Amino acid sequence: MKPRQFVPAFIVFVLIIALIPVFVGFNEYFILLATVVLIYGVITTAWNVMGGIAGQLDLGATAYLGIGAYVAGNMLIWWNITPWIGMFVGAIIAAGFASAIGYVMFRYGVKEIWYALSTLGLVEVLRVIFMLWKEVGGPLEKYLPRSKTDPFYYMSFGSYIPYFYIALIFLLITFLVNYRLRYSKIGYSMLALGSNEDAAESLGIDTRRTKLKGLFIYSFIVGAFGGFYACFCSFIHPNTDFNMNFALEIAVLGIVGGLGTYYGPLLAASILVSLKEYLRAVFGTIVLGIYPAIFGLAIILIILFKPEGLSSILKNVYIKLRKGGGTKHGRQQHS
Amino acid sequence: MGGNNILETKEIVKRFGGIVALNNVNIGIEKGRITGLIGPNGAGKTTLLNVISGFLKPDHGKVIFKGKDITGLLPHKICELGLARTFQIVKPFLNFTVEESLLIGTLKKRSGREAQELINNVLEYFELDELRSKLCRELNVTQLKELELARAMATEPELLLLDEPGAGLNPKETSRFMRMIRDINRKKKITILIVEHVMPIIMGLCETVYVLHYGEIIARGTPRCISKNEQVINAYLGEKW
Amino acid sequence: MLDVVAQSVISGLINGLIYAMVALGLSVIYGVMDLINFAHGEFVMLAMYFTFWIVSFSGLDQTVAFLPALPIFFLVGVLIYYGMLNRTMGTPLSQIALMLGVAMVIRSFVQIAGGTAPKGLPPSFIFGVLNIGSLAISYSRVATAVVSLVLLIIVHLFLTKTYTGLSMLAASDDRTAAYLMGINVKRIYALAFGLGLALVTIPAAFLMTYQHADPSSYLRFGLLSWCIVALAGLGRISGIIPAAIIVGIAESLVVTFVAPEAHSLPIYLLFILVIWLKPKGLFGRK
Repeated sequence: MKPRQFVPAFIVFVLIIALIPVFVGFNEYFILLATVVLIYGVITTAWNVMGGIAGQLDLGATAYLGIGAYVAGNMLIWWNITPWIGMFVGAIIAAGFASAIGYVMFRYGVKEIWYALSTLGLVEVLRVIFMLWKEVGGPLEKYLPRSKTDPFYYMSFGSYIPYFYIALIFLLITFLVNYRLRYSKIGYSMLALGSNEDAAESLGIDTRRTKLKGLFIYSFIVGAFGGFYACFCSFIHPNTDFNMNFALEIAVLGIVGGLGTYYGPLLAASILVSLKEYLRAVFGTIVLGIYPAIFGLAIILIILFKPEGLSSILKNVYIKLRKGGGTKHGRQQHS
Repeated sequence: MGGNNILETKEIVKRFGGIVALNNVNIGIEKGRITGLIGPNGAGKTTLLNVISGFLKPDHGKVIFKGKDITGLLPHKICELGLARTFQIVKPFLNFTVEESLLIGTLKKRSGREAQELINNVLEYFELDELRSKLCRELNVTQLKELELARAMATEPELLLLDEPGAGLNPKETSRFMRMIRDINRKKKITILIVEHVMPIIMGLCETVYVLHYGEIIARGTPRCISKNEQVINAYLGEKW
Repeated sequence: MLDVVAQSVISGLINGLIYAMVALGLSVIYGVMDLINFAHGEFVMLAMYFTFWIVSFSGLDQTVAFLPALPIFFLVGVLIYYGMLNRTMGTPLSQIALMLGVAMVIRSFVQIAGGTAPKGLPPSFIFGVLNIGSLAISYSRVATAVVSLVLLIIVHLFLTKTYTGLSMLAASDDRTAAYLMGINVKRIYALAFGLGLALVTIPAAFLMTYQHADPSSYLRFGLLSWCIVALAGLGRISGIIPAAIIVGIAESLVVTFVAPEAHSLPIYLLFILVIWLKPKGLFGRK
């Protein structure tokens, strides 16, 4: 989609999502599911900056998510500072941490599979550190303080609806950041870098700086979102926040969605996470553990039969709607 | 070496593990000319090109570009200073259109309408106008090679390094490519260094030729001179010429 | 104090040798195909469950229980190659996503077929405890370490002395050149992937002489293997042993002197540092 069709499409899209609670009749369970989908959507869309546009296979989404969650969570627990501020502090710390690590990695030319593995290793290192660091973490869930009189300050609501809308706002911001980036100078540099690093470098693109920029934007958003995630879970725990499988799922959704687009990851997240949550709801109690298999199979089938990603389906539909409709129909009538 | 050199390498040494890929390499490239660098496969031609363009750091020695020491600078910095290169095996941005590929080269120095004008000029110059909105993955190798040259030109270089421009082209395409290279040199006043092992290209284009053999420069001179040099014939031309 | 250190080092050494065998399959696949098998840990876990089922149903000893599993895993590997990986060669991201999909299916399968409770087996014919000072090491672990050494040597010889093995190494060096030399690269890759999976069954069987299998075993073995392969460098078999020993000893020292929960910390820190500072591995080729 080029900029011209984007604005109306975006508005329609926002309206549809915003009305989900109405469609499901304010059913708390369905709103919870929708919120989970949005959570995956936000992180995957943020991941797309680094993984999709800049083409760096980052498997460390939950390292930044966890840092954000722990910063905001601990600020609330220790000093009673509202997560609204904690989120911002968490974002800065997560992005600062990511940039420091990223600086070293890019300086030493860590790329491709090694970048992937070291970011994944990072998640696990942080998990263990926070497991051992009793003051801020530890092996027991740390529950965040709640308040019935001022739920907004504590970001602890009795219903899932407020969480749904906060996540939606996050999604919109992340989506717009992606979109803006995609057609900007930095965005082109990132795409070139992701497409062919040597060529980009030889044409004057500072690939290290470009990677750092991508990593910064991505970790900042995910870090901020970590604060929300902690409040949504209502506790912090190393296994929940620094979760490797979660990080892997994010990257898989990004890949399955189609790299280099700004809407592919979101599309994959909405379809596959809905499927996953549906399967969990249906089979969860009957046959334990069947839903990851179906989820895994879905991923395999998409990669094998739609290697350009789910976004290509949407693109084809769009092209057909534009060209097809009239002309194709007309041609058929003539022949 | 003369004072009119746009690029000089001084005592470049590059080792990979125990293998010495470049041993004490000194070359000078005169401004405004086309210089050739020949040698059999594995002689270290591409390594030298990578050292000059910043993709490899030499273990010893200096690269002087326009009187400035650029040894160890990153490739993008070197590109900014006005040195562009192509690759032996084309490195296209597969999902980019031709126009977008050229845009990448202009990002550092131009923006907005200026960039667009530059892109249009390059497209026209290389007769790529009709292909402008084609995706790179839809192009054939010859088109990709031309695009790579065009892309390098979009960075507005003063010195252009071409790594085996003839590789993968048939004789007809090669002669068209040679014309293009000569044209860039004459009309755009761009200095060119060509790395090749196909002799006719070098013979037809270059004014000065260096011969690299097992990491060492064994001869320098006009193409005619080189082709008569005993040592060169033994090392390289003997088998093929 | 010194005694404690020595014991910890010896224990770590034995573990390291065992880990070397666990990482071997991953190393072969990475070395030949340049592909990180993200489902490696899952395959190790699956093979442990296979051992459990084979032993429970047939009464075979663990130490030979890999015999029926080995050809099955080899076949699965070949099928995965022809069915999936072959179609996505050259797109590493898709391959990673594919293997993660496979990993999810295996995890699911293990949970459905095996339940969530840990599965352990009665001792094999190797039992008893070796006492070194106050350190007690079970003979099963010692035997596993010995088997690991033998297996590594066999695979090393296979890769460097047989035609098939040499073709694999050639394919890993230069795909096009190997093709031109008349080597069927696809067949070699299929073989390598099959071999990589088949090699998982032997460590799994021996691990079952002294360990439980549970649905989260994959995590530990997967990460462990990646770390060892990273340390060892580009799929060189000879690098695996020192790399695995370093990992084993580092782990053991941290468990003794810091905290048991921190056992994975030194591995990952080492791993990350090596990737950053020596991306070709500590023992990579020159």
